[in-house]
Amino acid sequence: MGNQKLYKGSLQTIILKLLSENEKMYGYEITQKVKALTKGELKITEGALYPALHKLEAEGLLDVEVAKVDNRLRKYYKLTESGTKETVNRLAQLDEFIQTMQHLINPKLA
Amino acid sequence: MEEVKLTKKQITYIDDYLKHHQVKYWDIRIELLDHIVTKTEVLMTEGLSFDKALEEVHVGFGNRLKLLRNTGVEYSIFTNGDGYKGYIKSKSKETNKKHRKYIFKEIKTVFSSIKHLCFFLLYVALMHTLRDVFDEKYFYKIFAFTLLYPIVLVLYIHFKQYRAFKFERSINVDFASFNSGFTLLNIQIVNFVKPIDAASFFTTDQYTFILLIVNVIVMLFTYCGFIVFTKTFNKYANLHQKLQQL
Repeated sequence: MGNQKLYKGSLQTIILKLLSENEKMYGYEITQKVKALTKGELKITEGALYPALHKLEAEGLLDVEVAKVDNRLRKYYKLTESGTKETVNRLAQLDEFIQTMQHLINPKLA
Repeated sequence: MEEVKLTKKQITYIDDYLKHHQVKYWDIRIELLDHIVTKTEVLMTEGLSFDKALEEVHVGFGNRLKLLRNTGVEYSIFTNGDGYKGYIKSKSKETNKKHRKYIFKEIKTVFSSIKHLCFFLLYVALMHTLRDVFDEKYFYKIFAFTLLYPIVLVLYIHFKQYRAFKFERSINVDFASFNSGFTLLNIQIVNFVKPIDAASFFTTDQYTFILLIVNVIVMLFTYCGFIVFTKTFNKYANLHQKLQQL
């Protein structure tokens, strides 16, 4: 749990990856999906999630759709065409980062 | 375990709580309200009371329950809303960036559309002719008029927007109108202040030529800004209507 700061730099990539696997998702759903996939290891706070979503939207990587759910409106996020392309780039960058870290920390395994 | 669903009264209470924390834009409240209601329902299903669940959500957004750290002074979700302030700050920054991007995208469209390009070139030709026909003093008056009209339009649009949204503010429409008129005001002010100084540095011909170029650039940005504004306004007017029908 103490390594939340290490995940911080990869938050946008995590969001993009989730959205590439799901057609559209809303904020709370993203936090729960990440929590479930990491078995509670990574908990995205609302204070970190929304600035990341807003940044991705402003960059044109995400599009927004609003639908009525129960007696309120729900904002769904989905990847744009450039968002789909960018996801591939960012995942490749993350993979490269993990490999570099592996070389540094555990050269024998790398 | 039976799934808990909040009542309309509880949802209104959360909406009022957000208004209390200065979340004045209705299009921001839509997302916050849904997140808070969903999480509160989940926590209540797990066994928490409404008040305790709301406290947990409140803290999750980066807000504090106490007025001062490490003191027992006041303990309520209405005490501190720093998390929401941060949320609005980040949203404002990104919304502004998004609308500027839309305007530049629209400018690209102008140059790739023959109809728009013809209209733009006609405007340049008209301003060029006016520059030849009138002397410097009159041309400056025409220049001032063409730069002032966006301000009048923006003021009118703001009034229209508030009426349509029942006097509630939308962050997207606010930034769309700001970028269509008020950003350009900066360029306009520079040119209103400088004419006498500028005239002493340049010949009359050079000075009116600069006015012409500035005017054309401002017109292009204003025109594209208004296209973006109209699209944004219509999109959010539809959304506001949806909200009213709930």
